[in-house]
Amino acid sequence: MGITRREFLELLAGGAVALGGLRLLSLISTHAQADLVRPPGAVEEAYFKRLCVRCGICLEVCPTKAIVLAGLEAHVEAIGTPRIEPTVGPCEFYRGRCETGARCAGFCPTGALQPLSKEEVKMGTAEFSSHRCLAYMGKECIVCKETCPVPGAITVISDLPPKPDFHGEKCVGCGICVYHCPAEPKALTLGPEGARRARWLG
Amino acid sequence: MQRQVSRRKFLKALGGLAVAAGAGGVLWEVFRPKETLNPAKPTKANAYTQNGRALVSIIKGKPETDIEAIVRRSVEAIGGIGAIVSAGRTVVVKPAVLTSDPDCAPDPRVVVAVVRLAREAGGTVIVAESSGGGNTAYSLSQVGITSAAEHAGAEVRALPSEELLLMEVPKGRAIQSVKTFPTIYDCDVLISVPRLKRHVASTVTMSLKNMMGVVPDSEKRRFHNTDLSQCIADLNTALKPDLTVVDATFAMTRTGPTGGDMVQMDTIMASGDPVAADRVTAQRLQELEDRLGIPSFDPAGVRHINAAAALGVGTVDPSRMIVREESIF
Repeated sequence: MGITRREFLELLAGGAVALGGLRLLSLISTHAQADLVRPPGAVEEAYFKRLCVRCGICLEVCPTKAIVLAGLEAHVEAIGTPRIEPTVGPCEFYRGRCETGARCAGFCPTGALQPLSKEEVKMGTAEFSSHRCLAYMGKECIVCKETCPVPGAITVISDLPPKPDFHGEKCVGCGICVYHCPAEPKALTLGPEGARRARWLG
Repeated sequence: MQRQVSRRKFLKALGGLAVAAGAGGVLWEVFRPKETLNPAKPTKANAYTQNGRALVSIIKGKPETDIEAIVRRSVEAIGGIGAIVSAGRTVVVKPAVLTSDPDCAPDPRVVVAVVRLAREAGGTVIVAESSGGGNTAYSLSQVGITSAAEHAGAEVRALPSEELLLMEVPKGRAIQSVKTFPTIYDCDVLISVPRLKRHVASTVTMSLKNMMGVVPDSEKRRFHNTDLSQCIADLNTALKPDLTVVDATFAMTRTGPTGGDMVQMDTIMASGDPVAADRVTAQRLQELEDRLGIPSFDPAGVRHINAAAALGVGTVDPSRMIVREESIF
């Protein structure tokens, strides 16, 4: 049962069309994210996609298993690249439960993730929806503030009950508040806005 | 060699698989291990009373005073550890360790002093915690409790790695049952070791709120979704500490449970009644904040303390307590 040259070329063309179609689809679809929350020390997105070889080592070494592989929620060219999923686990590099320079970056074989210091990390910003927040529904909850490791990133509005106030410019995007938010669905999501990327000097 | 599968055969196989999957699901529903509801632990009366009034000790030292000496005196002043711990008893010491920030947790020296006291009385001591804000084993080791407590002869257990156990809460108003851990359910004596702290959501966090750390994270989420103050009170009807040792060597003022201003007090407070302990220590915290000019709170109006008192966990009535205050230098 062989394969003819014709069939082979047809398959190749079909694949190319399918990939192009997926890419077009992700342009239309509102769900596809152009930017993803990358692990700490990621280089600028355009370089990141080229440098990342989708080896998955960062997933394996992450102490909190906060890194997952991007699937169809990402654009086609980013499928299989690592992203932080705070509902699975938060990135605890800023808080200190990781190695100096970030474990994922230390193990990255291509330099798509570059070792960095705690002060440099900014993976994104926690986004807050007050209509899902338990405190805004009148319940006693301030778990986000309790667990936030960044001084001043979440402050409290003295009200009854007290409510959280988010300061995106101070947020490092670790996702700890998102992970611990007890609301269902969560009142917090983690977005890539404001992420500070490492420079690629290769 | 080619094997032909007819459309009919294929559809049949598909149908067969669907039926098998359905049957499997039904069988699983019928035979899956059911969660057994364990009866509540027998409630014990406060071992530290005088003429029916709850004893609360407040022992103040100086910055250079040995913390262990203050802790020993605080427990002695209400009647000594022997009232609750005898030889062969399993004692769980429950420190309040929220995150890896040492300011949030009680001083390891206070935990060690309690561990030593319980061991001297013949108890087998386990330091156990289920942190609300991150990996428990990591937080316990970061704040210095793991190494200190192990050195003092206690076993340190990070509770989230244990199996869960469903327990009845007969007196509960907001919750009728709660999941906890075998270590907590099986222990003979429970000692709560919190730090004196403000809390932005529950006003203060001492002994009663510390019991949030003997349930898994799923239950903490449920409490926040329900009515936190009532849930804390309900939980304390079922899992009530026999002794509370509040670390006020440094108190966290202004805000909490993280990021507040630490104020040195060199004080340890102890009581067999967690409600009385919380009521008295809340008062002290409020007085301290008043002196410092920090906008404070009404210590008689803390919801979870009053809710626990209403359920009979302990007393908030000053006429039903005896406060023994001493300075040791």
